[in-house]
Amino acid sequence: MDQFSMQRKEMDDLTVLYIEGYLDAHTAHQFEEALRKIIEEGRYKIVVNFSRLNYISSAGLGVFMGVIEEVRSNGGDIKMCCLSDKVFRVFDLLGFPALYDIVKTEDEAIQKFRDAQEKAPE
Amino acid sequence: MKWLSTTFWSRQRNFFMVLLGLLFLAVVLALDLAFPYMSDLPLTLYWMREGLIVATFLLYGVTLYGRRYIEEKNILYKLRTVFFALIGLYAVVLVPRMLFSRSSSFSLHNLFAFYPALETIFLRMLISVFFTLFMINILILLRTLVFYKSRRKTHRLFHASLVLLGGLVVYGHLSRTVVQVEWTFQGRTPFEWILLGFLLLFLVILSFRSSWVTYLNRRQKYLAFWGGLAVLPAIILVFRSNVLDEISRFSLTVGAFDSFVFYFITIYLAFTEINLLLHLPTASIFDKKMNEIASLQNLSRMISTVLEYNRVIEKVTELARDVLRADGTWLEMVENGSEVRVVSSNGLSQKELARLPVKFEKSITSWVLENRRSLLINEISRDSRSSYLRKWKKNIGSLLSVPLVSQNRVLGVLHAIKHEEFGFDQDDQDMLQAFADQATVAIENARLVEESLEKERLEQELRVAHDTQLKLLPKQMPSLPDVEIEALCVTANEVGGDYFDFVELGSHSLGIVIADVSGKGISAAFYMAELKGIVNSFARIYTSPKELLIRINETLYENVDRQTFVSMVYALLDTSRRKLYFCRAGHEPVFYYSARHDRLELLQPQGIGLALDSGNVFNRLLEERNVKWRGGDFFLFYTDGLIEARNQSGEEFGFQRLYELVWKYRDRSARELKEVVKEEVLKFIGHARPHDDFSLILVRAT
Repeated sequence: MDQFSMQRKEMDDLTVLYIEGYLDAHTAHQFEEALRKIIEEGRYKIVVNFSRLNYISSAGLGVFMGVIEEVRSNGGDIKMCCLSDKVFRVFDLLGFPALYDIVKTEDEAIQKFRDAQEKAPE
Repeated sequence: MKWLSTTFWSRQRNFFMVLLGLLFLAVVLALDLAFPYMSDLPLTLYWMREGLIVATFLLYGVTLYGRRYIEEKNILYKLRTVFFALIGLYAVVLVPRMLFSRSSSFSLHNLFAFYPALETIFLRMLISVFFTLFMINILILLRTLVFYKSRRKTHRLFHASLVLLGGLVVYGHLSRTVVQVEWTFQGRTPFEWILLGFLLLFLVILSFRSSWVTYLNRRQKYLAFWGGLAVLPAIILVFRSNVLDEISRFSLTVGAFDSFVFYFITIYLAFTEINLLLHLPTASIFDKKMNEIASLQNLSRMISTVLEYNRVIEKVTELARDVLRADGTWLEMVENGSEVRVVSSNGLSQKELARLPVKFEKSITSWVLENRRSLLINEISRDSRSSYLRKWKKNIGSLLSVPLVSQNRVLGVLHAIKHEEFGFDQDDQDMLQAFADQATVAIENARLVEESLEKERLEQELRVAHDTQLKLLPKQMPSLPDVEIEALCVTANEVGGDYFDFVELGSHSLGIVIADVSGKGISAAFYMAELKGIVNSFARIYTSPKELLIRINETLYENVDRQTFVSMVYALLDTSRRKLYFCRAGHEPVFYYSARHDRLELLQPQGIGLALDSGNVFNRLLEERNVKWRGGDFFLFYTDGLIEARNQSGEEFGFQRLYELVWKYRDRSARELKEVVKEEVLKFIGHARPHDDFSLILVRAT
């Protein structure tokens, strides 16, 4: 029942991770491994697309908390997009919108990275 | 009563037998000494003498015959004993000959020639007795050798030969001729000739039964062969001398028996030598095969004893190298579906292992995984598939790789290498495959055991987590004037991290805590315990919910790992002022029912979860609210497990259903409302145990 899967897409220095199914205590480690792999490759600009995610538990949210410091300290970020109302409610109750950029569409998320780049060119 | 015990008695019996035999022989000797003085030899005396001799040897023979003379395992050891006994016999025969010899001439023809007078009688008897005792032993040895792994037919043939011999002896006595199993027509009747012919035929057939030769190892085969050749002069010596004639003169029966056994051993020895000679060229190959079988058996034995995965894989490479006499072996296992890793090796250095190319598109491993067949490459340098291995290790000549297949799934690949080219043959390939099949079973077993141990450990962990959670939850509801308090926590199989508590802060004041620790199981239970400690100590210091949560956040943030966070509502219930002060740190909202307005509303002040942030965001966003309540009002606190409870088809209980349920039963007592919610949720999910904990606290003003 608790199925979870991921797909990855790369656009320049951006990585988009599509997550699908149920992200709970049993599947969180898969998601964490995928995120860690992206970070190990030195890719710190990550968009997580939630459009096909049915459920997220506290363990799933914990994964973001576990990696965000490293990502941000390397000049990157994790931006989230396309959350269903139900999933957004969980994020919202916990106060994640205060800690993360959560936007409606993937393009918006990508645009956020581009804007940040223009503001602070390397 | 010592003499009654069996060992004592059997020792007594043996002693008695020997004594009886000696007595018989003494009588025979007396008769022999008396014979020259008798003019006419009475036939009865002759029969008596013959009977006594036969009885003596029968006593000896029957005692020995019943025993299991040779254990299968130490044939060669027994053969060696016989070899030394033979030397002893010759000493017994030759030494008296030298001592008593009067003639200076010494040749083969007169080696056992006897001299007139008394010495003849003594010597003839001495030699006959020793030779016959030796021959009885030889017969029993022959029996064991012939019977080795033989069928019933052989047993019958052997006994038929003995019966035929008996027939010949009786016939010989009746016709008063010297009976020998000799290939001669002289003085024989056609009947005797037929019996003799059959006897010889039987002996030849029996001489083919030398399968024990096969099971000797190479060294033993050589030893047996050269030992056999060394016995040859002794045999020739007996043939060229007249010892058998002399024994026949001592006793016709014994002579016939000795001749029979002597011919038997000669024929048998001849056939065995030929057999040994034929086996010698293949001895080393046979040894190798035996070695392989032994190793396979060794592995099978190991399967039932070694249950540790790491020990099994170590043994697999070690035994594989032993069996094949390979220069190196290593085992690769498929992990996580497609990754391949070297898990154990033998005869390879750490450095070599680190540089070993394992899996890529055209590697040997990929080939074996794909084809699920073993692969033998005898010329590494000339085969395109394996040329990359030469870059890895210069001195590889040949490679043998076999898959470990279990239920149509390839678990891994076992490789063996030799420095020389053409180091492996077809047999090696089959052998290693058989070995790998056994190894697969061993590995699977070890894995199953470890899995069940792991499962047990997890279950143990679950129990610990549950116990912890139960101990942390309050056992009694607090009692305060004007309010009815009810709480409920339905725990999931795997502890979900739900926690609630009450902190009594005086007769009119109560701290109410409801929280959900992220994650599950033992770690969640551990953080719950930590949280309880922090909340209980801080709640007495900081009375304002906002300040309390800010302090808790600071402490938690520093003491838990980054993945862990807590959502919590802390409420301070003041019954004297009839007020509820509360803060929400990332938790589900609070239901508030106002009886005066008959309105059910949700209170959701701002606030993010605990331990998400060091304080900057948390402190800025946290908002404290207070509600003035009246009689009939109620507050309902709950955790997300309640609305996220799923039924079999994956549908969630949901917020809407909860809201409608609470609205419908708004007039009931706190206890009734609690029971209704619990029943409805459990009915919805259709099991006794939810996949996540769910909790609720009801506070109703009376």
